Amino acid sequence: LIKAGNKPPVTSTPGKPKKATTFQEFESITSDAWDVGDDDDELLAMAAQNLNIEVVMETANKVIENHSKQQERRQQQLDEPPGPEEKDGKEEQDKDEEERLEEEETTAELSFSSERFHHSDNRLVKSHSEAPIGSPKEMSGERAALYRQQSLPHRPVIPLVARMADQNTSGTPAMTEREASRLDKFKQLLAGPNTDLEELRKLSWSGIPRQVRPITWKLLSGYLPANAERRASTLQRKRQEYFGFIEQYYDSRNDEHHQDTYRQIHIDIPRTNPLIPLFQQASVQEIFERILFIWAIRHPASGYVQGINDLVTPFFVVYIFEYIEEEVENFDVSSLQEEVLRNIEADSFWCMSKLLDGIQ
Amino acid sequence: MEDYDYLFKIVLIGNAGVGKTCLVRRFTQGLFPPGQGATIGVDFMIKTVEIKGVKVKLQIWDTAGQERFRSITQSYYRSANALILTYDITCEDSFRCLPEWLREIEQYANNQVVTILVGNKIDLAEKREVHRQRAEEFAEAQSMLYLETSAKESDNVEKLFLDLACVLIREAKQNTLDNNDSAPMPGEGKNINYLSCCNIN
Repeated sequence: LIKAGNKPPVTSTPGKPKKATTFQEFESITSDAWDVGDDDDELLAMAAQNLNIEVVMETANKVIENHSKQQERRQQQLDEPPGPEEKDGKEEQDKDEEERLEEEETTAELSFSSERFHHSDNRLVKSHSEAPIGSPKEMSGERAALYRQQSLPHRPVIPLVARMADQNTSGTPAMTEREASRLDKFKQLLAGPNTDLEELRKLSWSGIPRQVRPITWKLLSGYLPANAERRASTLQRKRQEYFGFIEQYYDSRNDEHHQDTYRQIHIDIPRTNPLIPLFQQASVQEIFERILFIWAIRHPASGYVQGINDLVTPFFVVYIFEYIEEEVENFDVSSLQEEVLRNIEADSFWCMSKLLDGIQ
Repeated sequence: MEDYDYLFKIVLIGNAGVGKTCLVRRFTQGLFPPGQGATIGVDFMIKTVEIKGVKVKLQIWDTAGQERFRSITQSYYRSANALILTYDITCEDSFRCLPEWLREIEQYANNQVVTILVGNKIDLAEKREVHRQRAEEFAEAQSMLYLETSAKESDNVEKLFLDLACVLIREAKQNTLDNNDSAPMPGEGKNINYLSCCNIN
């Protein structure tokens, strides 16, 4: 897999002290190395045939790139012990990569529910404070495991805002040119009076910057109209409609003909993301129960099917992100305004419904 | 060359949330996942055990309990050598559904299949809703073996699968003798003597 060209171009003379920026320099020198499609038949053959070829290429290239970066880093560490500044730089890099993986896991949950068995042991969103910044050996092991699981487009860019919000650290490196330009592309698309959904979908394939993710999901799922002017009223109407359903139907959960449905949902709620504190909160579990019950009785031909509970999760998490800066895993939803939480609930319901409509 | 003497297919069935997946994971991986999500459709794991020098490969199929998935899980009954019908001793409901499961078995499984009734979650003794005697009587009336387990505490889990393997080996050997056939075809034998070699219960 590793070709000669992948070897890091930096040759260091042992004993000669390195500048703190060496790694960044290396990164910027090689950042365009993988932009051009490079054929790696083996990886392509392994990839699902119906995946977008560009996406497959990008993923494959990114994996190779990361691998060679790790090699480079290991080589550097072998050559000489890093200075304190340089070490910081590496950790930043580690954090970035950790984060990308987290982001991908979230997306993967959404699109590949059939892979849930593989994901079930990995928490949906890792808290950053807990992310291991251990020895390179451990790191590469964990990464390798994650890479094997992921089958979705790699997301090479995380905007600054997301990074800060996710990590709560100061002094994060400035947004790269690529990151900034990607975010700009999204913002431009979203700013117009009518969003070009095809263009937005295309752009989203390689990842949606966190700060535009909620609106992008709502648009691409068909929940919100492409016409910007109509969005606010649509949101208001849909949210009202959802809570109308609750008022009208939720009491019927104890009726005899709905008992089986409600019982099954009730069994599954505590085992939905059981290792993440966010989902252990009573108010969150109640939200999931309402969303699932209403969906089930409004779709009698399907009813509640185990696994639908897991489809609510990504929407719920992304729509919470819209309102908070801190990590979501241990977030206490009672610190949100009631109105906000209701909006998140209604939006999650409708987007999950849209997703399932597409399957049926 | 395959590295086993016998291959047996075991399918777990029973209501949602009774602990089928936890039993399988306890046996195959030695762990009790604190939060085990619902099984979607069907999953399977393999474990090879050695019983009195005989290598037995157990192919364990874990099914979704929700009724909605029956059409999928039914198709896995037919080639099963053994069925583990599981209920939750702290959930009367899961016990009362057993006749329904037996109808499924009758309809879809091979009529030579070995069926064992398992009452899981005995670690929650204080919440018990189904008395042991009642379950034993039910199992006996339906010609099933019976065992109570705790996937959490690892009680009787190993025994469950090893005893089943013993019964299946017996059955396969019997079958070989009867047919004077050198290649045993597990699951296609004749009636099984339920007095197993491993002294169940």
